[in-house]
Amino acid sequence: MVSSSQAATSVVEQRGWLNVPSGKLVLAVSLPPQYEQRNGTEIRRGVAMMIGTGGRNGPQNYFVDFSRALASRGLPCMRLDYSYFGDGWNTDQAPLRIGTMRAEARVAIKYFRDEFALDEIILLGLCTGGEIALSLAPELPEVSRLVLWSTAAIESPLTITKHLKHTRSMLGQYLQKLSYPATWRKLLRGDIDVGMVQRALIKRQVAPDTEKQAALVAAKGRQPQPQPKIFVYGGSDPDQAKAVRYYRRLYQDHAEIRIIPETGHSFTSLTARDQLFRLTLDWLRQQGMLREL
Amino acid sequence: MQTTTKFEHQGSTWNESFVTIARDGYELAGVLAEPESSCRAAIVICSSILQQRDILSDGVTELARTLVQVGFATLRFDYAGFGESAGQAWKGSLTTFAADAEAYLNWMRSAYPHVPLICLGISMGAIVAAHAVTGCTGVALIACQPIFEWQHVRQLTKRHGDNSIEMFDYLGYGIGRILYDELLTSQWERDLPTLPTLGVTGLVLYIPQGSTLRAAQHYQQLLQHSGFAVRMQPFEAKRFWDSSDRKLPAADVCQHIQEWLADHG
Repeated sequence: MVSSSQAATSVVEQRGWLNVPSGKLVLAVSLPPQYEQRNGTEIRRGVAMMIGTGGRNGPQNYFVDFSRALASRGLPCMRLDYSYFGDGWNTDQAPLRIGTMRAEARVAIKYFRDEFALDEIILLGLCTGGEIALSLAPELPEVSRLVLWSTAAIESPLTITKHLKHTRSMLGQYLQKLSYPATWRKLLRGDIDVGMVQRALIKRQVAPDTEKQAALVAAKGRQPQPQPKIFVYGGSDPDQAKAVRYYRRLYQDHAEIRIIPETGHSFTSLTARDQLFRLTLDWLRQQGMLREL
Repeated sequence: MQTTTKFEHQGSTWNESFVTIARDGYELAGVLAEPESSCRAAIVICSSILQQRDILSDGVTELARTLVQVGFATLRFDYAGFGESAGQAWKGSLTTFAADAEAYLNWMRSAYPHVPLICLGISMGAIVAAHAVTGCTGVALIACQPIFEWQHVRQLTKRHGDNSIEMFDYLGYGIGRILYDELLTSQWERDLPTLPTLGVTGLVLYIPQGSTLRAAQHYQQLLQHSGFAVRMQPFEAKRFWDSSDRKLPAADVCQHIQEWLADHG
């Protein structure tokens, strides 16, 4: 029984649990080949990946694959299961709270930084993970760059008006679907997942948070931060247009914003995945973060 | 960072460890959960295929933790090329997935030589488990919510009729032609009732939820004379219409397994 593994050619991975007040986190770290402790005065960098909801592997394994791609180019990478997801463990059985996720991510980043003696951290966030990254960046001086995939505009916490607006919009979409024969066939067969419809109507990706917690995250995330950053969106992501407008206004020319056409929020196709990886690697290379081995 | 850690919940204590084993030059990643008290049986859990095991709707972790709390050692793992296991997804096939499961069954047998060994497959993982148990002697099979109507295959068939294509884009995973062909030609539903004649003991378990009611009825009919133990949780209207949680109902599965083991010694 071993705790580390040879994940891909020469990339070594370590996995383990970390105790936090809310339970147990899982950290998975991919290390470059022949990774050694500090070598002279070289700046040591690492990437901390944060997902919004879901496990440390990311949708379609994107986090695993990208962390191995980065490790093979000299950057140690950390992936994280919040206590709510994957192999994590939430002791208080409390509903999912963005404030708790943020506190857990902070502990994980600190551990990663200290354990691997890193001078700089690049935060990579997907969806809500991007919002958490943006909200943590002002508090962590070691954060030098941000990579933000499908990160929505950071708004104030959901209000009743916004809930109603969302529900009205979803109802409209379902009413339209009722005009399709396929919908009626599914209905008659009992193939409609009522639970999923309920969840879509009542926006609840992150369970009701305390106003104070969510407001804090939103306020931190809305502060314009000086670190170089790149935002990447799928062209069909419904939140893309608004987010692009929002971040262009917030950062003017100080952030790169890229759109991958014909893909959605999770970049769910091999083509989109290749483009996402390639343009993120290119940007990191331009920033001098990678070394080709 | 602890590679083995202790869990406590409602009076139960157990340990979980990250484990890796080597198979054909690849390292497979898994998590072993072991009860602190005596172990009643060892269970290798085959999650569904074409996805990773930690996907929310599957609830593999929750099932493993529910089982360990009543005394079953469980091992959950990633197939080669998926999750944290090394390898390439497009090289995966039912044969390689079953070989991965077999490798972990052998590993569990050496770790727990004196308790019954069970291979539990969920959804499409039930097909993998059925393949794996025919390659190991004395391993019982639990097919939990086995798939019905080959919806994944139908989706693939619609998009990828071209025989010259070696790899398909399945929701961002590259899926190889071998797996595609295997799924199209698999005789899973025909073979399942014959497994008891090959000496495989086991349980087919269906807990109707949402649209899976028709699947439950289908398997009930298919297996009524098979000699397999079949447990179907009675259809409950409330469960059907309240299916807001798509996760595998871990507590129900655990209850059925315990009852089945009690019935069959």
